[in-house]
Amino acid sequence: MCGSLFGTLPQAQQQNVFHGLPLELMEEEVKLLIDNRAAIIIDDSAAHDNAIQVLSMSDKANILALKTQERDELALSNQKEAKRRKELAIEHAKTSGKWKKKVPKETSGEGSSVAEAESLFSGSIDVPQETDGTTVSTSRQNSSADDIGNRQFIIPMTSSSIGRHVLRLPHESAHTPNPSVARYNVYKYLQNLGYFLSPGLRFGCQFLAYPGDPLRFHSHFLVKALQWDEELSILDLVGGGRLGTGVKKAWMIAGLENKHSSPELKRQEDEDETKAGNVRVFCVEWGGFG
Amino acid sequence: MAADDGETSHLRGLRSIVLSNLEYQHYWTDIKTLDTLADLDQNAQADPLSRPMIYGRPPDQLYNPEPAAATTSSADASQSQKPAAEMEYVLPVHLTEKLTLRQWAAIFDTLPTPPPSTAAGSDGREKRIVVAVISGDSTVVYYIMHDGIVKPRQN
Repeated sequence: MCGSLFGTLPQAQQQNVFHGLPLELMEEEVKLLIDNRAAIIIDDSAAHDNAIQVLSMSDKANILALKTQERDELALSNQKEAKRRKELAIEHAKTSGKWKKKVPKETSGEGSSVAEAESLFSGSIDVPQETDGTTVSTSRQNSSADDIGNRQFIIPMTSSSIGRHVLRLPHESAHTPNPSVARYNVYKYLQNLGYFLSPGLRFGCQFLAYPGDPLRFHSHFLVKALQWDEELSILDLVGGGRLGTGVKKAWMIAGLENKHSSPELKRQEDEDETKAGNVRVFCVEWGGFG
Repeated sequence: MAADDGETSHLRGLRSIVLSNLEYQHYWTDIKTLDTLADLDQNAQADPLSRPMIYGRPPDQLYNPEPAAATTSSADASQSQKPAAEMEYVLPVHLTEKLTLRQWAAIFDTLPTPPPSTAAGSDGREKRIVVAVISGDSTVVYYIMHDGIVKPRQN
């Protein structure tokens, strides 16, 4: 089952990812999924309202607390990381012998900047008092800058908690797809045989049947589903056969066999009673002459 | 019954058009007309077929599932003895007719199951008929119809 991918700009799928449905299924596909209990239909707006309502105040407080905790942890680790880096740099400087020359200059220069920084970020963070003036001031500058820059807010990316509160639509709902019986029977039959089916509008039929992944194969059949007693004009058969042959496919008519025969045809149906409820399939191609 | 007879004669008329078209325009041979079940199977009773049909041999094999095999075999055939084409069942219909799946199925169900083709070594193929469509200006076009899912030949 593939569905049809589309966006608001089908030829430029990178754009407008958030507009419209990325994938649309045929009615038959949806019905099959529901019948196989692989999917349920939810009423989107009702589910949304419901999910919002069940989000109680305590949930809110929990989430906020969790976020604060995460944020504080992040800030703390950032602070530690900055301090560690600074110490590493100082060690490096000491071993390379540049440390002693620079110290006097920096301490004289840093005095004003420390004051500035403290006025800028006053009260933003508790700085443990340390004896070494240079280290403290710079590490604090670093850490407070890092803290602001890296204070990340965790954005929840999944809606899984919302999904639990779905409302299942009743089966009779107007939103449950109700494809025509003939189409659905044929769809299900071919799907069970392993064919990949896609909408057939582009080739003037109801379904295209691919023998495998539509990206790897050309479709083999242009499918038209019919009721067992639905009349098919010979002109349609000619058109279909010509159409299919023109695109190197076969035109297929198919329908679920109905043993309860209409009165005028009963005599033909009497002999075979074995194949009840089968889908009968006929493939039409141009004869190649005439 | 009178209406039925009228219909039968109409279908026979259609068949005679197709018959001459096949014989003189497309050079089919061994042409037989099929009117009753007994024409299909000698043991069957002489019940009339739902529609009169034609049984005949086209000049060349009508349907080759494998195009590559078809070209090689025809190349061989031109040198040596050409293998006889398979016999085909032809169903004449008029362009303005409307048939249901039930009727198509009934037509196929009366046909005998084809024997496994000996040359290709494949197991028995699906039943097929050639639908001869006659239009008002007596143009006849031919379409092949298979009973069951048959892969199209050019793919």
